[in-house]
Amino acid sequence: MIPTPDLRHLTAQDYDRVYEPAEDTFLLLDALEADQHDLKRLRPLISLEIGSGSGCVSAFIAKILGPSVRTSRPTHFSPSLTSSTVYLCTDINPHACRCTHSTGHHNAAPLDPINTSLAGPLARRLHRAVDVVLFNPPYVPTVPDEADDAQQARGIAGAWAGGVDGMGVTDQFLERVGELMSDRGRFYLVAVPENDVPGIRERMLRVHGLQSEIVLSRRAGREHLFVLRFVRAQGASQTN
Amino acid sequence: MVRLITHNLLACHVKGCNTNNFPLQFRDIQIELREAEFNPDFLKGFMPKIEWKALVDAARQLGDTSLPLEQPEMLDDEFLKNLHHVLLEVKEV
Ligand SMILES: C[S@@+](CC[C@H](N)C(=O)[O-])C[C@H]1O[C@@H](n2cnc3c(N)ncnc32)[C@H](O)[C@@H]1O
Repeated sequence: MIPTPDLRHLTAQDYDRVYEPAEDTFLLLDALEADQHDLKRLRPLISLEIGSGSGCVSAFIAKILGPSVRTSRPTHFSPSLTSSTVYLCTDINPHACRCTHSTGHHNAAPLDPINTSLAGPLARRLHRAVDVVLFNPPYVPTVPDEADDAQQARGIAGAWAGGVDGMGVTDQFLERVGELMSDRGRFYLVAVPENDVPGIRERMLRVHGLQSEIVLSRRAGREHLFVLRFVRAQGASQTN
Repeated sequence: MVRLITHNLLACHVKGCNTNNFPLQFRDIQIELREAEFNPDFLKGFMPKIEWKALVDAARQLGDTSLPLEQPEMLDDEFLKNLHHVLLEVKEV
């Protein structure tokens, strides 16, 4: 069992402004834990989380990956940070970036937060370079205005307000994620039935050459949550 | 508050920005140092992704002149340790 990252430094005041890890977060952690051997074997150079919020998910994957690639020779100091992977974390909410930073600090995980929308200014340099992409998006269906306002305000509502079918933000990212993923890259996405999971999967395969599996699904109260994992379809590595 | 490894991956995407705007310029420089585990394999893997001139410039702006202007072909330990320090331990805050 990989321990859940230590979040005791985050307070109720932080969670007034930043998404508090909930069932969707934990389902994503469980999906990553279930894939831990594959993830270690992948030895990712770059991990990119969109919408990192508290930083819980990236700190968790850093725990999974951290020790696996330690150099065999003994180091004479006890290192404060592991450095086998870069953990880039974006969020539109500036306070989320601060929380991600402190969560990294408290978990000896070198998380590098960037306050931007989606992959923002990283996209150009990260072209086909990212080995692990993670996104637990604002997936709740709302009227479009509500999602637009939330994106403008960059506050807590941006954590869930997803516009039509809850796909307003996610769709923008799905258009671009194929350009970010390395050939061996994988992309984990949280979704709910209102997002039309079969439709997402069909479209990603047809338009972007990304094939997917449902790694986990779970009912939590009124929500039915899914974690999808996308990889490049065999023979599709030359598209995009 | 960015480490130089992140800074090196950031390109200006605002309309009207061109390659001259890369990399983003530092303002009101302060730096913070935090020790990170030395991992030569990671550094060698990351080398091809680095925009070398931008990294050297950024490091110099922050007062670190340990990196050569040209990316060396021989990756000896001393070079890798300097690179490690610049990429992973120096943070512009
Ligand atoms: C459901 S929360 C997930 C937070 C955290 N990853 C977790 O699993 O607990 C969605 C996060 O996405 C962020 N977000 C919303 N729109 C975004 C955008 N356009 N670009 C980057 N982040 C965004 C929100 O601020 C929020 O932190």
